[in-house]
Amino acid sequence: MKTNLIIAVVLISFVLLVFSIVSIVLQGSSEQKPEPLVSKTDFSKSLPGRSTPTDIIKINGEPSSKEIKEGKISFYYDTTHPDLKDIVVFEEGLLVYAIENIFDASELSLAGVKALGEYETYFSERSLFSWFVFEEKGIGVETDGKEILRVIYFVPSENFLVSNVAKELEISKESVIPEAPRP
Amino acid sequence: MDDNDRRENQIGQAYGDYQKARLLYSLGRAAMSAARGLSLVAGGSTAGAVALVVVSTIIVLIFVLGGQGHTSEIETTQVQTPSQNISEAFNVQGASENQLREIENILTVPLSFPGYKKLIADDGPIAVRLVDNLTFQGQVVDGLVNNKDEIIIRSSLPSEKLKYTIFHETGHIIALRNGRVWQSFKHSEFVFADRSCYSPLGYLKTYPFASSGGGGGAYSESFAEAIALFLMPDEKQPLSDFPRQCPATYGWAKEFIFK
Repeated sequence: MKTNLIIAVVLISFVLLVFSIVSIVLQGSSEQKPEPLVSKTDFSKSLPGRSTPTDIIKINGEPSSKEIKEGKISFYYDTTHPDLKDIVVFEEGLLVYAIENIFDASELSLAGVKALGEYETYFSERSLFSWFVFEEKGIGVETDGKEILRVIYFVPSENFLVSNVAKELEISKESVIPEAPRP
Repeated sequence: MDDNDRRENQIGQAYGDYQKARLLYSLGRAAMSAARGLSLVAGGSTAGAVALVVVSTIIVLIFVLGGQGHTSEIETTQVQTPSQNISEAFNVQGASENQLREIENILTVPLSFPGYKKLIADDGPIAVRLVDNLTFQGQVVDGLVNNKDEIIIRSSLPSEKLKYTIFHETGHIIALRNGRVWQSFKHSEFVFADRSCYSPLGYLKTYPFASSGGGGGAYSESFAEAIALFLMPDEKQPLSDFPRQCPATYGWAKEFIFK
């Protein structure tokens, strides 16, 4: 009786093990949904012209890397995209501009941003997409016309085109597909 | 690869599947006989019942895992070629009657994928303009994209080059019209995962300027090139088996463009 019980337990365990293995194999080989892209920073609370590196670190943590060049300090924050980083640039210890990647419309929508008022459309040598810049508000969004891909916070300026930010991002009024043509 | 070659491949694949099924069936039958034999030897005792259950489970495993292997082997998508009306998505200009027919045949292929069609056509038709001389900064080029609504192609291209150029340039249009899809392309991850497919500069090796760089940059050109290679998976050297040689890049195109 005891022997039969042991055999039954062993049998059931074996069958369960086998079907677990089969389930795992089937699950593993079925199409895996790609991981959603995520930016872990929030620069919306930053104050261009006033925030310091310490202020940014308090909100967003230490950056993944830093760079000091020509008197400017740049913080780079990793996102879950290996090629797209969030960037903060300081000059003389104060935030000049911050660029944050937007991977989901729920974070920031084009309709929501357009409600800020009038904007100018700019183009960048470094980007496929255009920038809608709300100069007096100190906000700009990179967009394909449907969704926001990046947002930039900068010191509000009456003439954005001549600002250091615009020069650094190679922004212009002319429509420029970077490194055109595309063979 | 022409239609005849495709048919031959399909026949070959079906025969291979048949042979596999026969083998699995034989294995299953042998396992069942062994189980029956064991239970007879054990005189119908508990040991025999155990043997029967264990062997039956092994048979199930063989069929399930064998079937799963079969499924994953045919996962690489065959390019579909049903007839498509391209005029919803493309407006061809400057082409002769023959050229127009050729371009329609070419564009029918990607348009048969609902994912591609949505990405390329949702924002309105794209002009495909053929011009005799196409240069940029003094150099002759085969195709250009200057904005998200127009492709310019050099009109004297031979058929294979025309096909490739059109596929590649529509890849740029998809990027320009779909920023989220642009974001989905994890270029450096693919360069690492499929390192034999990419040049030291980060371009897919089939891109004409993979060694010297240029165009829209490694990210942009690899994005467009991946789309072209998905549609010509066995035609471009040195990546004449794109799905197997570059699984990460291929998988991205399948998931984000051609679903």
